[in-house]
Amino acid sequence: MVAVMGPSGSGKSTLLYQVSGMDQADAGEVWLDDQEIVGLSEDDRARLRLHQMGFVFQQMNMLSHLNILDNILLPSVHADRSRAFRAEQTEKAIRMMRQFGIDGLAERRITDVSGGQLQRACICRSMMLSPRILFADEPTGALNQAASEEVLQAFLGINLEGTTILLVTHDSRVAASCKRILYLLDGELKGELRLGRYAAGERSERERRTLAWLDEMGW
Amino acid sequence: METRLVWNDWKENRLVTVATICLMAVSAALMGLSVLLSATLLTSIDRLMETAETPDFLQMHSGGLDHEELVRFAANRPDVAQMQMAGFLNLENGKLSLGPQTLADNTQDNGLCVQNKAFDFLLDLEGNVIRVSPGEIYVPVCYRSEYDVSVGEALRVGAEDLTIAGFLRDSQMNSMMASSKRFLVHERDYARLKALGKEEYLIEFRLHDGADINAFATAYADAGLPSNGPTITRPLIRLINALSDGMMTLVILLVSVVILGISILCIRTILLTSLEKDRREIGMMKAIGISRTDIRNLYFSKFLILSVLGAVLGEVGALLASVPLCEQMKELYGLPEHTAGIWLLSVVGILAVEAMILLSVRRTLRLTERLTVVDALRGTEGPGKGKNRYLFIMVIAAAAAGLMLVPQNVASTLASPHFVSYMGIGSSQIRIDIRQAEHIDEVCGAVLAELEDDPSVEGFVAMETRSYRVALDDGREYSLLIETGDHGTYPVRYNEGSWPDEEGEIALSLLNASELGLGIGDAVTVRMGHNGLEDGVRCRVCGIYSDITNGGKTAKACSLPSGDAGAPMWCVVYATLQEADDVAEWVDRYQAHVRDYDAGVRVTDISNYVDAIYGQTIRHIRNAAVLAVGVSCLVLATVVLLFVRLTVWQERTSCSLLKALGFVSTEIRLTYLKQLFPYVLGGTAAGVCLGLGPGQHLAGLLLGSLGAAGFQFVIDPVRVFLVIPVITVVVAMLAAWVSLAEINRIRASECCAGQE
Repeated sequence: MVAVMGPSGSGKSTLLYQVSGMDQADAGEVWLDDQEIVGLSEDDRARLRLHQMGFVFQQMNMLSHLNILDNILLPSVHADRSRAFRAEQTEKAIRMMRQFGIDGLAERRITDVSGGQLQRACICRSMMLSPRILFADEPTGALNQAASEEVLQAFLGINLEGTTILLVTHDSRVAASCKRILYLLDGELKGELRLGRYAAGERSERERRTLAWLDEMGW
Repeated sequence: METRLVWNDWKENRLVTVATICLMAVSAALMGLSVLLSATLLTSIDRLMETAETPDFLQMHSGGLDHEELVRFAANRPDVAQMQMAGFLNLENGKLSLGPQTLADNTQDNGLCVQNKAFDFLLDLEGNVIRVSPGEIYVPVCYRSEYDVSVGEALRVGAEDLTIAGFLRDSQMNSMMASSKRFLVHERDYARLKALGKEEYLIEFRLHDGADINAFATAYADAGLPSNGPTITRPLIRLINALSDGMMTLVILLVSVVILGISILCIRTILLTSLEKDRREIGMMKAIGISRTDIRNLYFSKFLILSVLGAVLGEVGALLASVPLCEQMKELYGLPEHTAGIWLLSVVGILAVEAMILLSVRRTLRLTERLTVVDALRGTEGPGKGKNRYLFIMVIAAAAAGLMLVPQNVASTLASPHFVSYMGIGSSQIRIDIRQAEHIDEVCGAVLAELEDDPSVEGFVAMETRSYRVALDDGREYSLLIETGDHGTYPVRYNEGSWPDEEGEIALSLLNASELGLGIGDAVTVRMGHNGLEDGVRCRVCGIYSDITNGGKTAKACSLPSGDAGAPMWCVVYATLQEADDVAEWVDRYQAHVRDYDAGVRVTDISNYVDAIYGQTIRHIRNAAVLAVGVSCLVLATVVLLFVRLTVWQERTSCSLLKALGFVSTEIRLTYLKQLFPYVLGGTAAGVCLGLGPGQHLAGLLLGSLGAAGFQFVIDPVRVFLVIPVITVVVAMLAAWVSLAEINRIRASECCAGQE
């Protein structure tokens, strides 16, 4: 789990868009395992994002005309239209909703749930096709402290199960939970902090170290 | 899931959904209706002409004729399949009474005939060839509703009563635009009543399939065969049959094309707004890897389903509207042969409309491809944003005003007394026809003397028509009906040049000019005898005018020696009175006077004449005009309702901010109305200008089919400059006010809460 930090305009989101193939890079290389993605066509990059990547955004982008469960199932429906897969994915979605504590919200409209619940639903959606890597852009930026904590716990759980997470954040508490923190300034990597794998008991120590390092970076 | 997505989208955007269906349905209904009406009209006419075995070539002739000569001519022509001579006993209208009503005011040439033996049959309403018994009479079907007569009643001819046994369809003379009407009687009655009128002949030919009718007409004229009357060909009969109802169909077609254009524009804008509103969602779908095609198909499927609904509603609307509009056609021409085929054709028309709309949707959806994920997520401006929506409303207001205006103007132009001058009839108040008198020139002289002595008559001129042989410089010869007299007092409308006002000048009707290939300045020789060109009079073509009288083939000259042409075939006197209000009364009085004096004189109030010929067409076009007003108002209201609502959606945060600052909803709504008003007003003004400018040209194309080439609108200023603009502005502003009610639902806190 890697956090990217830096002041506004430093290029954090741009980096995320480039490495996830949402934007076409003008120069350089992006590799996902042994596949170079910069040269891929837009449709190929879309397929790659659908099957191998997951996304969580600051603003909980969901389709307003679908309920929570349908929104979670959206990528699955587009990946494989067979009934069997659909049934299997619906089961998985319900299981994941239970896992993230939103199992009673399946039929709710997206406007009828809290920000934290919605963001957890977005995490469920991003995990439906078991991505190799999850990208998150300010996932707690619009949430209160309690909701942020819920989302953070969800990320930690996913990471623990083996999914790589690259997240852009302004929240030092979220960053302190990551294994590595990258600090960007004006589009360049200014520093890197290696905190190691997260363990529940080290939380306050990790946060202290992170704040001290960020201070050093000029945060 | 897609179904749920589409369904929820509709539920939440009811107004947009209803407006989209409405636009699709109205476009489809109008196109379906145009197809239904035109196909019904054309197939009914064709079926009638086929069953009745309408002649391919018809020469009307009054005077003596040599039957043997005609038979010889027909026998020597390989293209002639059949030939017959049919009698037509032209009666003075005062001698005919349907029930208690006399036909004295009727402007048609009414007469008796017997059933033909070989072809040109008169049919009953079931399409069977009528077998009439002695003492019975069949009445043209167009008089059934006009005189409210029914089977079993008596029709008086002179002093004799005949029983109406039924109504007939006459493939040649069904339309009110055909100037004669045939009543069918038994041969015995015909022979007995012969003394009451003047017998004319219809010399009729059926040609073999593929024969050239024009070549035959030339051969007939070259053979010097009887031609003392108009020549009519099968295409002309078909055209005259089609015109009165066809005009309405053309107006509806015109309206449907404009409405389709408006609908495509509106739906495109609806889609652009929807894409704009959903920009973030589209970006999200792209980001999580949903392909461009899937996203496009998602939006397309919404419109596809709506278009199916629109098509179904449109077809139902077209079928419902066609019932009253087809009634007249079915009465005149009978049921069409392939009703299922016609219905299918209308479905094809409707599907074509929906396909055009969907094609535009598909093209617009390409814009989603230009929107990159990053732009969408970052909130960079997407497609369709930043355009002035009010400009669009201005365009729609202009189109609606123009659409209301053009059919109104066509109707008021046709109804105007001046319109006859486009038709080859002098623009006077009164027309006196002297046709069946024994000595036309003497009767004409007597009528002129009476007019001279009548103090209420302001002015008059007499025109005499004779049939002349005319030779062209390349050696071709034609028979031409030439009207001589003073053409400058009550002139007809000249498309080119002017009337003949000195000897050696001739003006030609449009049809004659194009058939003879002559233009202004060309010369022809009018033969005075059959001895050769040296006896002819050289005439230069000085004017070309539109004409529908006498088969559209006439000519005018100032004066010509009568030569071989002899006594005039008929004489027409045009007159005006000192007081225009007295026309109807003067016409009645003078008609009563000449009835005693000579049977062959008919006095017509020109406005009645116009009503008789175009009344039906004018009524139909007025129907179409009312339809145009209704449809325009509906479309205008829908579009304004929709676009004002879309504007409020887009400016929701600003509205909320204004409320937060202390403005009340009514004040904000009034601000929007004030912004919108100049655009609606400007659009309306532009629509009036469009209707009077390009709309006039467009209507000119329609009226050109009636023979009225180069026409100008006769406008009703109150309607054009007051009623229609007021309707347009009021409908637009009312719809805007209703739509702005959305502002009442915006909360002051929304502007602080952000988008999500």
